[in-house]
Amino acid sequence: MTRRSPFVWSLALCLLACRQPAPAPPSSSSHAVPANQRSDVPVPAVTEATGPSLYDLPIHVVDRAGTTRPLAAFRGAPLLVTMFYGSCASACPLLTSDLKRIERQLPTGVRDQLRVLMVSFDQARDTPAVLERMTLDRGMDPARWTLASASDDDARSLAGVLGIRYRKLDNGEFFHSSAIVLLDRDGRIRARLDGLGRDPSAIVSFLTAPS
Amino acid sequence: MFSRCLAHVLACVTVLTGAAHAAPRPLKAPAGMVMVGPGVYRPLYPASPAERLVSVRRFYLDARPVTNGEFLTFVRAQPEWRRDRAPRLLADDGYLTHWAAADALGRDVRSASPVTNVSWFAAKAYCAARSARLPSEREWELAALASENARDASSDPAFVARILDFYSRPALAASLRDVGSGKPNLYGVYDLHGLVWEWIYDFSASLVAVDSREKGEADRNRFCGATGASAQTPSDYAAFMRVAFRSSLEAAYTTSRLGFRCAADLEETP
Repeated sequence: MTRRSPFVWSLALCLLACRQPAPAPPSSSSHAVPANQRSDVPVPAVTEATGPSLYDLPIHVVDRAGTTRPLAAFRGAPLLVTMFYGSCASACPLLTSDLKRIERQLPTGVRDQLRVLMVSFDQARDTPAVLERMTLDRGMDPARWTLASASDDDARSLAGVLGIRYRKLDNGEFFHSSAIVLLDRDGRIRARLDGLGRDPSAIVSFLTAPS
Repeated sequence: MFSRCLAHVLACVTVLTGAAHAAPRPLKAPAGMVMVGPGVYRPLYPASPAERLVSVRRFYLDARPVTNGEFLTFVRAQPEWRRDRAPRLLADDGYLTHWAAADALGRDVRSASPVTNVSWFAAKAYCAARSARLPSEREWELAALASENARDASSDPAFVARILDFYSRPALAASLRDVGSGKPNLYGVYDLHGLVWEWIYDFSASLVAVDSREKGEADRNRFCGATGASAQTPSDYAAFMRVAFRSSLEAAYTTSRLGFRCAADLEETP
């Protein structure tokens, strides 16, 4: 029997997880199809300015200094949010390079305003020290990039509002979908990229649009 | 290969059920809850080869789904969860729309019928207010394996047929019957099948779409157990319906046939 290493199928699933939305159950026998899935109308990449703010939610993250901060601490500047786990050798570097690719497409002035928050759902292993090392090793600007972790409950809630799915495996690895979500300065979701290596023009055009 | 897999599975079952015979201490369940487990649950889509069989520790589970009346009490105590105040990020437009008002059920909604049109966030907040939590997938599935007289009724044709009958019934607008009016399962839990779908804590860990998109030899080699699951027995189909449904959910979604119940950890204190 051919054995695939956890790495290989973790990579495969990291990549595949976001390729397409999950199928709704067959409508003929379904009691309850979620309201948002009752039609095939595509969700616009850029959402309306009105809408609820993530900064109203009681979700906290622990940053590389070991400081527990509410999400609302990021209020005031546009923010790219994503979730990851540090020991993921495959998808997470790709996620980082996607984030950097977005940054490269921004004029300097816009880029200087932008903040990036990467939240790990692996709080046990992604300690402040690990996050600190990762920030430096991967050449992230520590003034604008925040690597953080969240408790199981906060991570599950944050994933809930960001539309990210993940499963912790018994071996400590995670299967997860990847998404980059753009919040405006007030914490409202304004654009998102589902999956890795996606065209970031929705995010770039929001950030570069004259306000 | 198959027989080796089977032997492996049986060995696991033996070990896991053996561990289950530890003498239970006398425990007092939280109000409305009963003790479930320990036991072994076989996921339809094992997340990894090591998780073909999942051992589940004992836990407390609400004997009945949460009712409209109970949820109304919660909403009155925590008005931020009224349908006119809860942020849409946490509960979509359908949240509690079947109630006559934000703080009243109205004549058409039965107090003792299961509350539906609640999001995962709202369900989670309700359980937290009771110092409880939502059950995990493995906990819910373990409890749902039991019929009136067997811990694992997944090979009982009558039991499986009843579940599939529920899944195949169209969602009618008619109001839901009261909770607890059927027969409890072996653990004393009512209505796990046949009344409403239920939220679980880790619904967003359901990644069936991931697995089902993987085709061919690689996939079959990856999950010995999944090869067996593809045999398409009726009980697998019921489990597939649940996994597919959970995969389609988002945390703010609400539907008219989706409710919940709470769970709690076993406090092993005298």
